[in-house]
Amino acid sequence: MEIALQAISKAYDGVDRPAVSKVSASIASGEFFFLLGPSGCGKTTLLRLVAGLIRPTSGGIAFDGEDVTELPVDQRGTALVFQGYALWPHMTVLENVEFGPRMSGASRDARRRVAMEQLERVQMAEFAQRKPNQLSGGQQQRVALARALAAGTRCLLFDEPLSNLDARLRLHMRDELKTLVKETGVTAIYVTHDQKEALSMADRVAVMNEGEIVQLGTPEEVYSQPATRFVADFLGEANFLGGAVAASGDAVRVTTTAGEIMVSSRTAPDVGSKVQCCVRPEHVRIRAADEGPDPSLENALEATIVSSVYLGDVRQYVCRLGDGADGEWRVAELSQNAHRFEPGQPVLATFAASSVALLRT
Amino acid sequence: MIRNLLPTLASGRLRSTFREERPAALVAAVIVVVITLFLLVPIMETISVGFYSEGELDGYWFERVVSNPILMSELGNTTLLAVITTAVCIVIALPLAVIRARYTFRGINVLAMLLLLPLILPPFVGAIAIKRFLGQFGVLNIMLEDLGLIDMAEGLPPDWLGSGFTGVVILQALHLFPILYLNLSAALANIDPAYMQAARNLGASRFQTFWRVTLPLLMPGLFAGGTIVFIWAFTDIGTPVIVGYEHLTPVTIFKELATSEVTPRTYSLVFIMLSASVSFYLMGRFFLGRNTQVGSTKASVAAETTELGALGTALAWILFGGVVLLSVLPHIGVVLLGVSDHWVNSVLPQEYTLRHLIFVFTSPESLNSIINSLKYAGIATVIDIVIGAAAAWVIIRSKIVGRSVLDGLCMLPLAVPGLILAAGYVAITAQGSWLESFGPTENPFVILVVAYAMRRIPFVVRGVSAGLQQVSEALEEAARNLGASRLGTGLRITAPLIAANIIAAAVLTFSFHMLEVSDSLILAQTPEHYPITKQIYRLATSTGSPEAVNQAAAMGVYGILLLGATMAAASLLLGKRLGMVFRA
Repeated sequence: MEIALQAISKAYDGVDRPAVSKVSASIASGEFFFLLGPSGCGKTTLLRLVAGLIRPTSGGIAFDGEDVTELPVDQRGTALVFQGYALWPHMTVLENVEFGPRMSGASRDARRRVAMEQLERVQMAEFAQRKPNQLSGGQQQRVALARALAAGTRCLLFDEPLSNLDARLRLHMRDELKTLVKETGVTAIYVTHDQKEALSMADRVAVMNEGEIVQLGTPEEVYSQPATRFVADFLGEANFLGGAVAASGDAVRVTTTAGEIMVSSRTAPDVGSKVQCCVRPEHVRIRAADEGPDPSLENALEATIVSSVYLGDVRQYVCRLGDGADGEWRVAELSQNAHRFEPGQPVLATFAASSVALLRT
Repeated sequence: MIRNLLPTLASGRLRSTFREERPAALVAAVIVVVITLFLLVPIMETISVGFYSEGELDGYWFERVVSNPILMSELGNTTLLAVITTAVCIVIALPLAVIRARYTFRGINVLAMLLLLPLILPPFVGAIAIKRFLGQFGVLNIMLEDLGLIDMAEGLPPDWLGSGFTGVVILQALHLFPILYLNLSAALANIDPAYMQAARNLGASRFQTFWRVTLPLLMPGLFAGGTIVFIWAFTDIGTPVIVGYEHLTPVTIFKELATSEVTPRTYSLVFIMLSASVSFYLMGRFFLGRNTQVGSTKASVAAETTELGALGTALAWILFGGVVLLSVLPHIGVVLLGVSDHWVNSVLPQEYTLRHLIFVFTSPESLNSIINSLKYAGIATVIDIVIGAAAAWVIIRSKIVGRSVLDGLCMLPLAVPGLILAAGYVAITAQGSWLESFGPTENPFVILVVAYAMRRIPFVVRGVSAGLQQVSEALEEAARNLGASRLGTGLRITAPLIAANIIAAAVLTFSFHMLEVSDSLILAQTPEHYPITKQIYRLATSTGSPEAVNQAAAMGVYGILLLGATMAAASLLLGKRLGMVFRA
């Protein structure tokens, strides 16, 4: 099912800033689409708008080109997996899972068959007669998923479904969920504040902040080519350096106080415009100053090591660029191949032009 | 693809918010109309009658009341009674609540539950026995003589009841302190223990901490409970009438309403009572109650409770047990009276009989009153559950504008005592009115049922609200999301999950209806329509037969059994949430 959001907004009475503000996006059939952002960014509100649990203040929603904005929640045909699972405590696991088919008028046998099928799929068939409170968190999670799948929907909605699980189980469920969703071929929208979850599972990610989608793209795009400082920061650690565009075209040259930076940018910014250069810590290689620049990396900035911390898989350096006026950068070198640098040692921070993202300021 | 949808979207926009909340708005509107018609209109009628003389609006009758020294001294008395009763309640409830919050000891949960026992025993019933205990030749004096502390032969023994004022205070206080206890306990539970720990950390003693930190933070809870107790005591007629202390405004109003001596003066008195009650209520709810929300914070640290040793436990048992015992003493008296054949000049009856208990079901009048009460209470309970549950749903689950107004309206019966509501029904069914045939002296079936129902709406609203608040909205949303309609969700998901609350509210409401006093005494004036309470009143105050008091007590025994059983059922269903029902 294809889902289209057209300039959708939701404002609550007595709250100045709308929870969701003029969001437009179209989600392809069978896509696993993520809404990622900090708490309060409007991602859950947007999901509830799609489910029809709340109505938008303005804008519209269409499923397969058909306007569903005014369609009540019970006629929308989406299946939502709630954050706290919302399994009905007075019903057994089976009764919970049967509920969707029962509402669509399935016969007793048919709905039992569908429910058991889905319970088997999530490996919960043996718990069919239990009450939800007799299950562990992970098991409840699976039942909630089975209940959603049993509804026979073409659109699954997930509201931070893994946030109540412990870290190990969460990692395991990520893979399982992704496989399941892809197997069924339904369109799925998944809300999370966990960037690793989004990057590892999504076909596309919409990064949200203050009620708006600030960037929409594949996990690789939003991570390595963040559009704004917010996106860069939210998706992981990032180093920034401000400057002005000195030359534009196929290769962009940015003049900064720490030196010149070459950028292979997809867009050609105006010469003279102010920009922020963003480089991920793992894209920077440290070299001893006396070794000279690495010919395979276009950029080399003079720096001084401030600290060096061993973190197991990587060694993390903090280094000061130039004379220190441009702040500090973090660099992560794989510890197995890292040459060890000492604090106070003059070094070069080297990185490829392709690993630099130019941010709007 | 979506762009061409936009013209249709725009036109649907305005309707959508309205449509989403339309069922809630409709339900709310119906409830408002019902409460207006059956609660506000009768009250407005009493007020307007009191301010009309010879067809013109003026303050003639009001001035007559205010300038009448007897009526004014009665009003003073009534106020004094309410003040003292409230004070006694605080003295009893505060230490109990604090101990309950601070300490743990073996059996505390059982004792804490027994503390609610007095609530189920109407003081009106206990009043039948109070003279037997505290009168000049009562059980107390006989016990004192047995102990050699007084000698009855030397002259008249002390009259502990005095004019009866003391008796009324005792009965009311023993009945009402649990309401204060519940409110104080809730307030204590809402205070972040970190506040107290900070004070102790800075060198305050336990007492200083209580005085300077806990008590000020408790004030909203104290006033919230205190308001209900005050209004109850201020407008109670059952207890003073049976005890025989009649120098009180509510009793005067009752006497005038229950006979045909109703004049605009009576309604002026009602107006004064109403203004006082509503002012106290509003003061409690808005001025002081508002602080409850501000003051109640989520606990940042765990509460520290001290486990009591053997001695402490013993003392706590004596305190809690003593209060429980004292509060059921009048009712033990009622039971004894109900089964005594001969009880003169002795602590316990000399001979016992089941005659009175059997009489209740063999005497046509008594049996008829029981059947009447079952009818009135049954219908009123159904009305309460329907209105109360619907109101609770709108208040808790909908987002419609003005639902706090609806909440206030549903709580209004707490501020409008039965006495005043009854006066309202007397007024709207007065001679010459088109409702005359529903009046107290004709066929009061309808007005009794409606008056009962109006009185207990707050209980059901609070009880069901408590249930709804505990059921996560996500459970309902999940059903809606999977295709269940609003009604289907209500029936399949919500109702089973709050069934305990609904049943508990129903049994409690039913038993309160069965023992409703003010409305029954005033609105049932024809013997064939008497409910149980009116029959008890008639028997208890009758001078015809020497056994009438025993028969009244026997009926009281059944009342106690009924309330005891329903309260036990309700507390089994609700557990610790029982207290929610008795909140303002």
